[in-house]
Amino acid sequence: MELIHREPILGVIDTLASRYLQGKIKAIRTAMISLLSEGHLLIEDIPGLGKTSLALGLSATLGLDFGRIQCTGDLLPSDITGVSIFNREDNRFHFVKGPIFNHLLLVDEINRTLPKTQSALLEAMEERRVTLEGVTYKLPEPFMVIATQNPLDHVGTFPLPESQLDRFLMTTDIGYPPAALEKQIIRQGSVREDLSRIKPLLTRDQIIEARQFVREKIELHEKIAGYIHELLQRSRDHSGFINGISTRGGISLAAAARAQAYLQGRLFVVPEDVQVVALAVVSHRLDLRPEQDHLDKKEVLRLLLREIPVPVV
Amino acid sequence: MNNLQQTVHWLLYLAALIAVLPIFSFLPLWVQIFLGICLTVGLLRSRIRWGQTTGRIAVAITVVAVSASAVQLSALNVALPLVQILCLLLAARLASEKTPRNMLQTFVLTLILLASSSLLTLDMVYLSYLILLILILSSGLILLSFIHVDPQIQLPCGLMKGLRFFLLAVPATTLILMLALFFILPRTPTPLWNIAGQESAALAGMTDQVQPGSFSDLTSAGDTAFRAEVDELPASLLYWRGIVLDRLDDQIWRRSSPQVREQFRTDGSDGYEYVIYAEPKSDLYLVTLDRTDRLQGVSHRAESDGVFTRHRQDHRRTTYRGIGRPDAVAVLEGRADDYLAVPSSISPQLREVAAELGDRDQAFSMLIERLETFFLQQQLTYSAENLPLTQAPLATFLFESRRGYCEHFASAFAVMLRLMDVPARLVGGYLGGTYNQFGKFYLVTEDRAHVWVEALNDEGVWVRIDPSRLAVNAEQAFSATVATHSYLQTLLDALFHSWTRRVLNFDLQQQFELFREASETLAGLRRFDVSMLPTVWSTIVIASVCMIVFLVRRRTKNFGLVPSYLRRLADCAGLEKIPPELGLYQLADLTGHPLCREFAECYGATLYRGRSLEAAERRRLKEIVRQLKGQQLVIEVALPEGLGDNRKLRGPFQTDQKGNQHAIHRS
Repeated sequence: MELIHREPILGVIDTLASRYLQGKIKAIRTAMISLLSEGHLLIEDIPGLGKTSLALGLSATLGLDFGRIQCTGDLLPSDITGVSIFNREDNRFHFVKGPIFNHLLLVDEINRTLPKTQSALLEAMEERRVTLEGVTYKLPEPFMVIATQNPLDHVGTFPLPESQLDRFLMTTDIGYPPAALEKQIIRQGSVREDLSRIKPLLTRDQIIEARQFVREKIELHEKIAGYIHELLQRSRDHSGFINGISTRGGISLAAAARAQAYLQGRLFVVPEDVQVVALAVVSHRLDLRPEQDHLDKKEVLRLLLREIPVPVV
Repeated sequence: MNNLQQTVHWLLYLAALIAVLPIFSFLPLWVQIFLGICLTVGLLRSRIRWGQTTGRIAVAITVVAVSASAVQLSALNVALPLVQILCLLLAARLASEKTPRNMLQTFVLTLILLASSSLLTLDMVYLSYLILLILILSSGLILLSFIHVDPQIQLPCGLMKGLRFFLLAVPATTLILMLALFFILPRTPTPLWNIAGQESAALAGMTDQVQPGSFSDLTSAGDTAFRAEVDELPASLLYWRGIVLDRLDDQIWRRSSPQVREQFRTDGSDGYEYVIYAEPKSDLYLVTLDRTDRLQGVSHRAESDGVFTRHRQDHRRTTYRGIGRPDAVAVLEGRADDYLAVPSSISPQLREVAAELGDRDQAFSMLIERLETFFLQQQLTYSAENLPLTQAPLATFLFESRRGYCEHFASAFAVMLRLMDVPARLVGGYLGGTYNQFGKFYLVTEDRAHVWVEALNDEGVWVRIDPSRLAVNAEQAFSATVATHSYLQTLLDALFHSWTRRVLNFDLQQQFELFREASETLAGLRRFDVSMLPTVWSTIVIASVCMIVFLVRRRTKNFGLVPSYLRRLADCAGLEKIPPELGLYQLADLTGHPLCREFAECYGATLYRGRSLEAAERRRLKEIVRQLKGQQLVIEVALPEGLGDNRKLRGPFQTDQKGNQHAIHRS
């Protein structure tokens, strides 16, 4: 069986990573896996490292609409979803769609806005529809949110509760680019201009088909399910974490592993796929106990993964 | 024309051959030629141009031929014209174009033809034809279903392999099912429509009248008269009683009716139980082991002189059972006058000798002894060839030619006894038989037909006397008739007998017996026997141990591979053990060795898709493990590094991509 549309998708990753968004390969891959497994992406990093460029680059190469919300302390839910305005000529209310009605939505600094607005956004992400004044509006397909979050020790933030973080499929960071690259970027200036000239490499229908293919055709054998469950169980038994990984975390892990297998050109998931995506999928769902706070969460998770034997028989 | 289509065509011709072969010799010459022509046309079909007119002419020829056969159909002659029509239709289909529809029809025709050939012959070979045809037919039909979907279908090698298993499994199941149905399907005690074997009835052998001197040469065929399942008996007991002849009209011994009453007395001994499988024959007499008082398994009438006759003529093989009691005696209860009558035309020479030898005043044993002495003195020779034909055969036999066969001996002896006032009669039947060690039965052929004498002694008891033994050459004459059979012949005969017994004669009664035996066995099982307990338990334990060993072996057969692979890798990399958290793909990445990559892709594709390894794959994987021996590998134990490192300019994607393209082709 052929892995449909895998070539153009790899082409997108390659184009972005090599020409426009150098040094963001991890973020690009994470974003692509999120897109393929119908999830949303949370980028945890400081401003100015190219989050917006990433979202713009993705939307441009994928041929998707792009919307952006800059979250502030006074942002209201209606600023995201849209409002009804009274049209005097028609003598009735007329709904003006908000930025959420875009395929790709960049929600910048999500932890700066009020919890009320956060939860409105996250509910829309989960349900993939918006209900306003008794009318339900479906969000476009595909729909993906790329939210960014400043590290929590920054001033004036409302940290997202775990229950809401759970709704993001994956998290990633961007990090500073390597010195040589950074110098080159400094010399060339912003790539925004170039990004606006990218021709789409994929159509919307192709993305929908690829998502469907990943969801329905990539095999996830019982042994892999067992492996994922083992990871869930051990995280729950682990002394360092407050709570273990939720069942939704397990589902997300499976979905992301499917997308990873697809990108690797396989029709079936292998344990390595789970290992590859595990940190990105799981780390934001776990909280270390206060007494273990000095540890690096990702390092603890890596140690946890190393304890679990891979099913080879 | 591809492989699959070619295969189906050959199967088709093979099926036709098998269907026609058993009846080919029965067919008239023109049908045989028609078959040959049609077969040639069918084989050359792809090479000849076939116009519309030619097709119409062919149809017309077939219609004419079929009608010509149909005209021969009558109430008495059903089988042959029917088979002939089927042959013609089959021939027409063989010559026609090989579309899936036509091929299906051909297969159906072959099956019907083979079935109908059982109307003409029921040889044992039929079974092998049937099994072969089922094998061919079911494989042909499965392949046909493929061709029907896509005539140009090409099957990949792996699928062909699975198909081959399927092609064998289906007929095997069919045959097992057929065997089960053979036993279970309800039978009638008699065939509903009896066609087979009408023309076959014995012509030579035992006859219902004896006329010594009517032939100059007695030639008898070695056809089988009957088979008798019985323990091996001493030769002196092997007298098979068929008919009793008590009246001598002029020169012909006949059977009168009704007979004088006799009482059959057994001494309480067990006797010899036997079962007789008689070939079809034209007379009504049932052969029994001398003497038998009761028969079972056939509708018959027992007459007082120990002769059994069937109620009605039956052209089938007959099976019946009885108990032979050589020690029993038959006592005459009525008057013996009828057994003393001698025709007036009897030669005076015989009367003189009889008068010399004595009369009823002397003791019975004395008279017999004297008569036997007389026969011995006459230096009589047992011979069935070149005998004189005269008006007074008995006198000629005793005093002139002194040559004759059993009828002469017995007839002369009986007449002499009667002239000496000793009641006597002739008994016709068979003598001896060839014991078949494999089938535990006596094979009695028609050339063993024999006639002997029964005489009434002083107590009114019938005594068997075989005058043929008084011939000077009795030893050679009788041993000559016992033809020696080769080992192979004996084995074949035993096979044939069991075919007749188990298959052809399988009827309602045997079915009932089978069910009864099965239910008895079941009832026996239900009865709890403490002494059986250890046996039962040990059987269960052994069976479960075998089962566990089998399951473990099956598990390790596939998966013992991975431990050996991991050990080998650890050896190569100088590690004590490969850490369990490293997957096969990760190991392939870490080593960067193409063999490790191949192992991971081949094995992973089966393991993580819930498929078991095929034999070829397993061989290849073992080969990889062997080839890895002595390789130097470097493994830096590490988990996959997540989704890449942003600090590297380019991830390992390019290499990944290539490697995985390969993986797609493999899976």
